Amino acid sequence: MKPQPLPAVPDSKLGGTAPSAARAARFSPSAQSRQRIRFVGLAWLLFAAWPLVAGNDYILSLGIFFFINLLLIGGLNLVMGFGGQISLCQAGFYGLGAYVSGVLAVKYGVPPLLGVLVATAGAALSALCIGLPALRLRGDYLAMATLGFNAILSVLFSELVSLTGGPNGLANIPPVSLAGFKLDIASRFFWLAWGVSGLMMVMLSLLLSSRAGRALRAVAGSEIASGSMGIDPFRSKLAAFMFSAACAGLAGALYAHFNQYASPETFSFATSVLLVVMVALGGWGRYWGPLFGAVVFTAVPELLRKFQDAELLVFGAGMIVVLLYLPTGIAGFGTYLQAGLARLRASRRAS
Amino acid sequence: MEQVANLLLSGLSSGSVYALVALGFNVIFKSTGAINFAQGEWVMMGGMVAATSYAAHWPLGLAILCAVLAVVMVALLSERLILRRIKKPTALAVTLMMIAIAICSKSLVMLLLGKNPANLPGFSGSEPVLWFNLRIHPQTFWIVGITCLVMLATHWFFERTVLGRAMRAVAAQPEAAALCGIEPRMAMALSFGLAAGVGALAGTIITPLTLTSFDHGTVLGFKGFSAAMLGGLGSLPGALIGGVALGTLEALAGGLISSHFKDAVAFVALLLTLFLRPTGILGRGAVEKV
Amino acid sequence: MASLELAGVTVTFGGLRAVDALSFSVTSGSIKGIIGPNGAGKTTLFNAISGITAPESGRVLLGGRDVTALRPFQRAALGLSRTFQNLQIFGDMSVLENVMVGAHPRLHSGWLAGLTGRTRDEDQRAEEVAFQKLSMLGLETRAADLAGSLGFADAKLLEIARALASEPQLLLLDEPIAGVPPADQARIADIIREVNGAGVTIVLVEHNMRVVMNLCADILVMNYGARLAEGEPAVVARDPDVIAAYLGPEARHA
Repeated sequence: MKPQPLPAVPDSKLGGTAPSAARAARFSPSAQSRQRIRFVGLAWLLFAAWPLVAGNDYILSLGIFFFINLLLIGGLNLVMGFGGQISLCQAGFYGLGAYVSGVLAVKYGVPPLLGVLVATAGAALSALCIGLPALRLRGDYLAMATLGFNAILSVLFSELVSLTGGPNGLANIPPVSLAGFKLDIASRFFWLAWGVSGLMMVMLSLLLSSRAGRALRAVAGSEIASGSMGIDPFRSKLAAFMFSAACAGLAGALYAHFNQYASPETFSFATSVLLVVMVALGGWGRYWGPLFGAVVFTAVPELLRKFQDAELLVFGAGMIVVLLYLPTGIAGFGTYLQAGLARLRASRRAS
Repeated sequence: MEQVANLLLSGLSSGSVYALVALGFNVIFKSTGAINFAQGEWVMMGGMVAATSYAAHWPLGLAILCAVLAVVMVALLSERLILRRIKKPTALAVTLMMIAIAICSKSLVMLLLGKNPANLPGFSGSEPVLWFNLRIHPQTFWIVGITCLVMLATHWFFERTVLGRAMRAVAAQPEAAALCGIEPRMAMALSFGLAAGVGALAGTIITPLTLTSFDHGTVLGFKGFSAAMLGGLGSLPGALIGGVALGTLEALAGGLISSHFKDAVAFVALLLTLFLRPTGILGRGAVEKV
Repeated sequence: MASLELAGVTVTFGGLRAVDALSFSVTSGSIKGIIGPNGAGKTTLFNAISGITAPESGRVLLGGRDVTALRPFQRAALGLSRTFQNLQIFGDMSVLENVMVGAHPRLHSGWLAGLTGRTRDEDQRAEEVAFQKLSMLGLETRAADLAGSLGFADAKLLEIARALASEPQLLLLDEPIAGVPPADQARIADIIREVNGAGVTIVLVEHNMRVVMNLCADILVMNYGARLAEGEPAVVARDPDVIAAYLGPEARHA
């Protein structure tokens, strides 16, 4: 039963001055969100030039992996950065999306586009099953439950051989067809990944400046206070967790149909941990953080190809440095620079 | 019948190791409220350092001692140089930092000690001991014996010594303990040293049975964590019960049902514990509900 | 009509009775003051009323309706709002957004509307309400700042602005004046009076006796979780038990 509110006290009876329109716009979070979305538009226009810049299919596919990684990290940033809950199963949901869509297409002949939708919904649904019990408990229980869930998924991916192909992987996954147009080469698939990830960035910006997004951030700030402000912390965290899993499921399905192959180690617990590292490196709870996180996650392994063994150490040490000295990550650099310049100017004026 | 007995024995030895790993989780959880993601890496590091020293013709005893000391040093340095610098050491911040430290530990072992699996000889050979109709690897006795000793020693330390009691006081009431002159930071360093030492020891005693390599730590750590949850996070006897229960369960499921899903047993147990009885078997304190 | 009623509410913490079989009621539209020495259980009482702490026994009624089993957010939806003595502001959000969170119970959009951008009108309204509350408390120049960057006194004002943004029927203020510079104290007292004048029932925990005596027609004195005295300020102030509780038992004979 939904509690019925008491009759409201009319606003007009309480004092205070009405804001002038110009003044309000300067502070307005929704105006900031519109500004952010304009920047996303600009950035995605620039990204659209990637196929022109990229000399070959390999470089072009790096762009596609960047968008896929952005879906993973952007979703994770919502639940971790803005919701304050550690999720260690992002790679598990990624794999779930890849295998659900891949197996449906390979073994049952389901059209890939439908498979992508089922995979997205399936990841969200499994997040619901994990979140319902785990998020009722206070503290780090989501971290522990997701840790276990990712490990179980990994075992299933490699042991359900008849479905997933086991450790050898699932091969011959058909490409997505859009309105009879087969997205089977990088230069075509690029646009799907480009559009989907841009859409996610827009949706995240809209969400964060809405009632639901404010509620989520409030829960991370103080669970007690958010409850007293009429927010159900449990539902807020659960919704964020489901959305982040849906992003991962979608990313996984896209990955499977682009790569046309999926194997269990891509979706291991170690990947989940690395994705957490990327959220921290990019900027914890920063809107633009995942963009930087996805750049790092896509580019650094390529740059370190010759020193592959050093990759883990670079990520680990990078995370330590960020957690200790740059709590707002790469996305916070602008803020640091501003603060640094201001200090420099102040000291010059003083001397 | 004989098969079940053999499975129980192998469960007992892997369960003992899980119990030691769980002990490490519990000690650090009590002092910081954080999940120590590096615990499994420390176990692996112990095994790797001992095996490398032994391969360099060091006596076995010295190799083990050296491994335990090295890992304790690594843990103390991590605490001193990294964790202590966190401005707001909330459980979330410490947990994230432990993830970073775990990644670094793993990759450092890989870079310094190599990627090949390493081995140690059984502490008293590998000639099976015949007992009724069972052939038992002698290392099993070492594992169970050392685990029991460590458990008793830890219990004695926390119950009987001034330092141990002080650490419990810090865990229960940091402000009050600080007022009584007990330094919480000191207790934190001590718990890291203790967890690392016990972990490294666990790594050296299991290596003769299972080999070890740089990528063994993560899974071992999570099984130990599942054991800690199963027994009750923060409870020392819970670590023993959870570890042995998990080891036995895993061995039985692997041997009697399907070896394919053996690795999932620990995590299914972890999820079931979380959902059905989040305080674990021995946990007393109520888990706060939202 | 009683806006808030407590019937035999008991809250215990490990054997300690923080609130001990307390019963009282607050008339709709009035300001009730709750005073008592430190540790008398005033904040615990607020936590029991707002649903953060579950009472061991007894009932809490809001507007005549039993809410004992309701969670904090459900009570907030019924028109209850509060501030926190130990400041529970959302430090990573802007000052304006903090107050907008306060307006949560008056807004309706959910996740789907949020993700698809169908909340523009609602957000506009929330911003206006929030800005109005901020200017009422003199914080409008800090609207865009991070709430975590506010000083203690400003953060206290922000707590009040946030609590007001839900247009509550019943407002619980936990020491709104403690720690605020004297210049602002009179202003906060005026705001409390103004809010009350608009029909909001207020329960006020405060140590500053002058302010409490001034604002409240009805005062409850607590000691060791139980009621020591209740009534008009002048009567309560002369009560020998109250004097003893505040100044020590010797004062009774002085």
